[in-house]
Amino acid sequence: MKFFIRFVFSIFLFGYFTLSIAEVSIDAQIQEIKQAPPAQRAQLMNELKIRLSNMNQQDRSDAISQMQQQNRVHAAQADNMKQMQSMERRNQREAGTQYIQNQMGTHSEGTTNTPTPDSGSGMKFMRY
Amino acid sequence: MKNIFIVLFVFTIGLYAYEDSDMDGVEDSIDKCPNTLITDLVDINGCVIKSLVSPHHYDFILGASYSQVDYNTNEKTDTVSENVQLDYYYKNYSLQLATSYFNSDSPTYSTNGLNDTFLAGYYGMKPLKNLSARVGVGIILPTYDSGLNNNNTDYLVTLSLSYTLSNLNLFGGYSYTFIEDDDLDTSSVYVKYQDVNSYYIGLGFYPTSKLYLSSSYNSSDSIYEGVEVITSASIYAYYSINQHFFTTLNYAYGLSDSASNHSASLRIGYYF
Repeated sequence: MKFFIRFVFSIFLFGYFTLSIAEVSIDAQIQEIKQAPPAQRAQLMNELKIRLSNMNQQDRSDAISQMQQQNRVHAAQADNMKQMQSMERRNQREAGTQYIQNQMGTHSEGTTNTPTPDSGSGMKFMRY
Repeated sequence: MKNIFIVLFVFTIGLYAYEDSDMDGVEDSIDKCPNTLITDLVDINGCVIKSLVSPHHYDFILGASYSQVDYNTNEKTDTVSENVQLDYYYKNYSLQLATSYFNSDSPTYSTNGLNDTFLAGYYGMKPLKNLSARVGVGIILPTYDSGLNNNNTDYLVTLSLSYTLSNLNLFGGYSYTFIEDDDLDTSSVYVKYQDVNSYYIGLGFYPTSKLYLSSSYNSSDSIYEGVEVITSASIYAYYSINQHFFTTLNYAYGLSDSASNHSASLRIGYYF
């Protein structure tokens, strides 16, 4: 009984807030839930959720979008870092290719670049 | 407006209906799935039978980036790239495909072509209320023609973390890339490739609900053994144009001689 009273009260509050926002009466549906046996309440709640979800599609989408946005921001930021790293890696590959081809006395397509000869051994083309 | 409804709804549940804490119509004492979402429809046991929100999402991102490098052994080079990225999301999982086409020019040298192609899978989670994490594994397909015929498929594992408190966001990430390129060892040149550790850490905030700004410090090993670590500082902006479209802007300043002097990127994405 205690549960039922609290449940009904919460449904009333739930109905109040919903009505004030969506301007759609759901009294009948709430009454139905209140009077339903426990075994049917889940089904009636499901129907209420569906109805609520259709009450204002744009607001619902905005709310969901808001919840998902932080995840998207997080993912996009990580993807941006990955893209930066990929770009740096490609730049180094290109510089390395030019350096190596110069050292080997061969050149790839395009006109010839003139890398500065490396005074040391190994790949030190970017060190001053 | 709907946010207010959700907050009040949750508040109401917490105060007056704790016996049915997930408000699915099934009392907690017999609820076999006690934490179903308000967007979930449930059976008589309180377990999900259907979600009102589709678990499938996609995004399509186009972008352009610019970088200027001035390594001491080469001429100053400007590179412009066009990027494309596709993502598929299913619940907490996602798949990603990304590649780019570059045009690189210096006073006496120019080249263009496809960059390496990135294919990865991710899993997102929230280990704590304000902490989100994303782990992933990926492969880097050797679509970039280095001209040396030694570019192979590389492999990568990655982790990114984001801790949000009010409007502030502390974030960081780490990745380890297994570089599989063949070493070069001839009479005229010796080049050894190495695996790459990369990490970044930064701070961001939300000036408005649609705008996110951040700055970060970034570090990554060179793929070449003996070349100094690539370090840079960057600023980043994310703007949610509407429910579907978003755009990002990034600028990075090279802190090490091995980094690009300047680089910037602009991307626009469509999420659905």
